[in-house]
Amino acid sequence: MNYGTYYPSNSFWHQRDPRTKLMVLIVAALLVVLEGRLGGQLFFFGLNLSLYVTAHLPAERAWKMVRAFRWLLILTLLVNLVFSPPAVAFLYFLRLLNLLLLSSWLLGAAEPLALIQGIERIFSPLGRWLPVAEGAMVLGLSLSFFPLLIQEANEITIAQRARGVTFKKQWWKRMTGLLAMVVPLFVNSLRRSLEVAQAMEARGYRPGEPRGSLYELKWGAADTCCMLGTGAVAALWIASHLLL
Amino acid sequence: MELKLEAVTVEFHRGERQRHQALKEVTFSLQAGEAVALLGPTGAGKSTLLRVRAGLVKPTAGRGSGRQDGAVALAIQEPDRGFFAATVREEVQFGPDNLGLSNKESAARVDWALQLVRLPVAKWEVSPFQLSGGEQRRVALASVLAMRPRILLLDEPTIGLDRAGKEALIFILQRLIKEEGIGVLIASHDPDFLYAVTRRVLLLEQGVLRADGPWGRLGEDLASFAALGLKLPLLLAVLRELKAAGAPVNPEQDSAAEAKEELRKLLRHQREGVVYN
Repeated sequence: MNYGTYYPSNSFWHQRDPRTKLMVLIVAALLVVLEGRLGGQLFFFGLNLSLYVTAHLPAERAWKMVRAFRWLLILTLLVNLVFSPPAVAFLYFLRLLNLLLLSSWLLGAAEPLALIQGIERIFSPLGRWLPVAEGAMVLGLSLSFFPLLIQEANEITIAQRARGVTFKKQWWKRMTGLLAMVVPLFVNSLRRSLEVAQAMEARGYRPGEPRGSLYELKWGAADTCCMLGTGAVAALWIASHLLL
Repeated sequence: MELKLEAVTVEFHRGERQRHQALKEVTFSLQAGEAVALLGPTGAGKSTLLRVRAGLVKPTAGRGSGRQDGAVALAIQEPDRGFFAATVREEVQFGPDNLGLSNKESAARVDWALQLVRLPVAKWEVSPFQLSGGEQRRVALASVLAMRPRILLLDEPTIGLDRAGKEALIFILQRLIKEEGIGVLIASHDPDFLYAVTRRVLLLEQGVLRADGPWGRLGEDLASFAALGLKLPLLLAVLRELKAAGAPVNPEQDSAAEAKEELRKLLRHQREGVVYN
């Protein structure tokens, strides 16, 4: 399990429309970036934690993420401790943590393909000027083929190791070893993308023509409530800035 | 040389929800010069077993991953996906070069390997990408053989091969086993191909070794064989049917050659008009 992969569950957030989750993320990230008070960041930290918990994402996932980004987090804290007062340094640290937590929440609660579909729908009004649907298709294909690419790389590593490639010897041997990895990976990716293109055309995909989708996104009352809640939090934040 | 696996267990995604035991306490050994078939339905752990043997997957428990010194070589499914050199010769020479052999010695090994897989000399200097699918597979095999492994592990070597390609592969493997004394472990879904090359079968089901023995003595494991959705080699099936119909044949034949001989014997008897009831 990875801190950035989809985590299957049936939680409240998993059932929401991907557009809802995207909007929540965008608003929350904006507020986190704009918030310049330590108390505010702490408040958002609590809010993000509650998002995390209500999406039934395990604590282990958050911990793995913190560990993966530990150098960035520690460096941010240390550098700012040197150049700014401790409160500000801690603010930056918390802001970064909040953003990481939010992204991990979104990627854990929404499947990549659903997210792509959500993005496509959000940007569909721009379809008259920009190839939104094609862009979404390219993004979706790249995402779904990424695990395959990793698997392919593993297979090629095994194939080349059987022919005596080790990645420890002298640097020139490492270079030929790298070449023996990269060239087949490119060749196979190109071959695979040609095959995918042919398979798509054979099944009637025509770029530029309108397409439906197998699973239509369904906007429910709970989604509207979430949007209203997000809006309320944003309004409260603005009010707190004007009043305090 | 001998390879041993002792109570090997392999677990993926340990300590997580998708935790999955690919192999459960698998024990067996393989001698040089011996040919063993690895059978089992999809997901039974065949590829994992081969990878443990080749030293590419570390067992969670148990002993006996193969060594990494080139004595054990694994050819993955569709090994031609690893091609990158400009010519067939360079492709095959890549392995020996990695072993640090002299140019002359490397070249000699390339000659030997390419002759062994019977690739026409005219095709040695062309790009491996220009060859047919069957030829590419043979070049891939040659590039592994050029490492001079004592034990060769093959993962689904017949995928995408036509009948002629399969027969060529059978011939090559038989020579390797008999003349070069190489031990071969083959995972495959093709029972007829396996029966033609090997004498012994390992039957894997969900990571557990269900059977280990010669083809002829599969009788006791036949029920599990059918239950796993696996087919018997045609020759064995025919012998069993004949026996069931009352013909004087012994269906316990360990290799395709012996099974064929048994069938010939029966035909000779019939021609000579031997009457049996």
